[in-house]
Amino acid sequence: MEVLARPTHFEERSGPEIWVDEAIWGHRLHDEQSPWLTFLEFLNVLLAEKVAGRALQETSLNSLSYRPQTQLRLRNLVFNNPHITTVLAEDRSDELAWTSWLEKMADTAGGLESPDFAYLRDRFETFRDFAAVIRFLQGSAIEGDSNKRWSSKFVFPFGPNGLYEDVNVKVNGGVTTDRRFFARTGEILYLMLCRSQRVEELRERLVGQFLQNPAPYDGMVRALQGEAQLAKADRGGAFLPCSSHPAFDRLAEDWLAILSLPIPAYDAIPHLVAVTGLNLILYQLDRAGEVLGSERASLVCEIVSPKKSVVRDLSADSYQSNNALPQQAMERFIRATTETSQWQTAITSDDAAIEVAELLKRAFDWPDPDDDDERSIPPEELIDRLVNKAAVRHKQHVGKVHMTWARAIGLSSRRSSRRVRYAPTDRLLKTLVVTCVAKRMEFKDFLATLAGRYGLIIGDHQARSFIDSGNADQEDFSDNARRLEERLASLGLLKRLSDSCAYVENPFQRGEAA
Amino acid sequence: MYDESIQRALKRHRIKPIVLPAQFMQALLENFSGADPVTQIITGTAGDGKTYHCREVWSALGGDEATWNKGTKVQTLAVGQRTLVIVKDLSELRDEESAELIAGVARDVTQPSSNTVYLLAANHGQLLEKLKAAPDTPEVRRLSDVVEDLLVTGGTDDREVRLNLSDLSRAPAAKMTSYIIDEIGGHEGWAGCDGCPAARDQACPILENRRRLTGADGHGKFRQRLASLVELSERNGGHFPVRQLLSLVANVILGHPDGRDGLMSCGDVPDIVASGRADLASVYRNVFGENLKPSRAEKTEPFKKLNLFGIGAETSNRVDNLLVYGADDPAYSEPYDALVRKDPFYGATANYTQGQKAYLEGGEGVDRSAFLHLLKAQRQRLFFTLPDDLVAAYELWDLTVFRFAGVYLEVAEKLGAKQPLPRAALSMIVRGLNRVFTGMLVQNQDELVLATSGSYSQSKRSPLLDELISVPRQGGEEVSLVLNPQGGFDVAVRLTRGEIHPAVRLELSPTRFEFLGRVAEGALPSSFSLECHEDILAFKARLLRETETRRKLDGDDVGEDGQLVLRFIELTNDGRATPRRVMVRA
Repeated sequence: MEVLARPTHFEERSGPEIWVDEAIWGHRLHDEQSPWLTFLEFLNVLLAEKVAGRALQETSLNSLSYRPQTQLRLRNLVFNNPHITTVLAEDRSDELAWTSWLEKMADTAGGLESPDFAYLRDRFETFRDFAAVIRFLQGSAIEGDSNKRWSSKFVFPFGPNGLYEDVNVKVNGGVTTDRRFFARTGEILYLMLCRSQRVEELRERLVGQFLQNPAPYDGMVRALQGEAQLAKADRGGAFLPCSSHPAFDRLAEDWLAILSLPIPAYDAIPHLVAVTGLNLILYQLDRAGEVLGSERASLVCEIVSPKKSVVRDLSADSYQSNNALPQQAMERFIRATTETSQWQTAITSDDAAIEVAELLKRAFDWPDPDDDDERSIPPEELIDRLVNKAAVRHKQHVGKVHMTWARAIGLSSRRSSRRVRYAPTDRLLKTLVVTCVAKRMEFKDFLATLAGRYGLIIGDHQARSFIDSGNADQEDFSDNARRLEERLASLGLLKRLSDSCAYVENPFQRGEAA
Repeated sequence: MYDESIQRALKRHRIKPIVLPAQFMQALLENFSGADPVTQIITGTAGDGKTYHCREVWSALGGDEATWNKGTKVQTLAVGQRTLVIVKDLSELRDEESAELIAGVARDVTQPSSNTVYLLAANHGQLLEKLKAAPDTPEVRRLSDVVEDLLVTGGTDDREVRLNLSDLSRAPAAKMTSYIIDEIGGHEGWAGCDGCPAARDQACPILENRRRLTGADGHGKFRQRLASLVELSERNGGHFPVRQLLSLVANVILGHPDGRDGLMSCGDVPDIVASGRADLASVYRNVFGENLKPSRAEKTEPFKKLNLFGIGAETSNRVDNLLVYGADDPAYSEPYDALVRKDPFYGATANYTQGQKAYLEGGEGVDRSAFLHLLKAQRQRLFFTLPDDLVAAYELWDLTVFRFAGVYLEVAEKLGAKQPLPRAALSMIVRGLNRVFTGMLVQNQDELVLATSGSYSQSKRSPLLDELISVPRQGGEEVSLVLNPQGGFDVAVRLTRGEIHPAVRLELSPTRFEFLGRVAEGALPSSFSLECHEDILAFKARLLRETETRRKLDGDDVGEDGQLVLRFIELTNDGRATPRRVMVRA
């Protein structure tokens, strides 16, 4: 694995102010971008790059630049259209309903140069039909009941016509990309998959299943949108620091496992979203571990039990220590500079303060060369100041990824406890089964797979280190595994043969015997 | 291991052994003494009677009992021209021994000319482990694939492997319960109680429990309800091996918290009776392991499974009113006499009447929780004693978490007897399915409303109509409840005439039945665990695939160019789902 330097052609005006988190994890992991939105951003990149003839191909590392769709007509109709209810309530003739609605819409539609929706009258028999279709799209929207601004709401990705980027539409009608919810995590995801070993297979499946054979409802979305609208400029600046990483391959393998299931593409999406969330969390922990030179992080999972247990405490501890890893890594990453020969040269030079400032500037994009105050601070203090500054920034978003995403995908929970811990939900368990079990697998092997692949510690065999160190009894963890067995059985994912033997089964590969 | 020590114990104590029907014996004997025997594997949970089967086959085919009792791990017997190899417990073999054996089995089962057949017994996990531990040759792999298929799915595609697998854990345990009660309750050893002073005074809880268990003196309900519980549990996948049933029955008779290990012996009885704690020996408590410490009962199999019914914790207002106020409330006096006072042994005991009085009158220092424990025992008793004519009035099954279990059992019984089903059952199932399928409170119960969300199948609301499928037979469509080969029943949806496209079926376990019943009554699907909800959605996905195939066959899938027709579900004022067509020109 090669760790890449910051690209020199990087020239976004509003780019990162310091280059620490980005250097470790990429530009960037962002807590406010939920796994679902990450997946959508990914599809946008994929579509744009496929149109440009280079789906999942990086011409050179970190050179991604793509032009996404905006589809503002569609979004106005579905998410910025409070008039339908009003017009229906007036209960006028169809003709009048259309006229009244078109007038209202012309006033309030945002981000369009000429908001004229008259074309819709040809495409629908009646206004009520139109209203029903809009209601349907609102009902199936992604995270549809969120209270985000209308320009950050998304229709279900039935096909290419329903894909568009997150934007900010100003009151004066201007459209800007503020990267509020499409904060490049989808670009990171895209780059990871580009750099995975099985990218060829992935390309075929992804393009085939999501872009070339859309669900019939994509036609409906197209009827509303008409011709596609594209962003005015290309979106560049994505950065992922590793040229390859075991985490990328694991991610790609998980995706392939899900995409090869005999289920429709849209049914695969929730599973893809969940494994993506899990893999990105693990990527963050893996990289943190690499920077710190520590062992791979393990995630002790409690299978929720009615009573407080030792595993619950260990699981909360494990959550807490993992949650602190990224910030420790960030600090270590900065302080490692002081162990380099360049640092030694710089601090022993005559103009130590300035040399050190230059050195830090090259590595972390800080301090500002024009800021004379910062350039006259003693080296050790300057480093401290950088660490503090980076920590403040880290805590805003990158440092929250583990917490936010673990909750979003159902990996962590506070159920019947005050401390957050790893306690996977039924849905996540199902995703794990669907991903890891090709057809069927012995329960013991399943536990070993989860530990080997993701570091999820559930059973007593995997928890050896905790048992040997006296922090838990074997029984605590074997009870935990037994609870998982029961949960999986009740989810229809496990078949128990007798006391000592059970099979985890992939529900989609079982044939008709449900 | 058990079988061997039991044989020794029998000899030592000179007790007549309990003889139970062995369900596969006939088939095994016919196979091995027939013209074309195949290798047999007997598997099952610990305590299902695997060793018992092997020993019986051995003796029936002329094997010498003394040779068997030497306990050799691998026994051979000449049957006609062939050699029968019996391994009563595969797990006893060391890995290298079993490797050799399995290699032999793998070779012989694929050769019709082979003169060696086997009878192997092992529980599931051991069987698979031994197969895994054997050297990895193509033959062994083929054998283990077939065994795995037989174990998990009950069938295999590889018909050339001459092997049959009998799974004792699929035996009907409800019937077995009855045999065991008869055998234990009617054992000649009870004659020893004649002349015991406790028996004369009618005060011995052991004898009282035996009477209640065997159904003497009008106590027949206990066996019947216990059998129902066992059957429901089996239908839900909670199997009762013979050994567990034996220990359950023994515990029912002998359980008392004051005895050693929670079991009383004849010597304990005078003290228990004298201390006025005989009511704690109640069969209705013992059946749930309440004579044991809670931590122990939680980990002991038969009680674990029976306690899932929540009997004692679940109740209805009517039942609790009767039990709490019945003694004083004139409106309840008649049923209270019949249901509580009539049973001085475990019903209106001195403890209970005093506790009840103290609870109602309150006052300082009254331990209310003590009465709640007594109340729990009474609910349990009522569940096992309520006469049939009061089942409806007191909603017997409200005393369990499976409120629809009564209907479930009735449907199963009527289907088995080919009698007309209770009318409400199918309507209830259809209404429940419709509500899960659409995510709306629809009232349709004479047609199946097959809906899709348009997006991913797991989404909660499905506003688009796929098809309406008629419940009464019409144009090839039909929705019905039918028996399945496993002994339970399925809901079957038939979409076309003829046999080419078999009906799409969903097994209705008591849990699923309960889920659909409650949803049909108005509960929200999401208020249950995901389990059932997901099952029903998976069933819907299968139905959707079938309707799509049907449309293709009928040529209904081709629309006009550039047109997309959607059918939205609209609810009428009385809550029926009706389709509404919307056309979109692209």
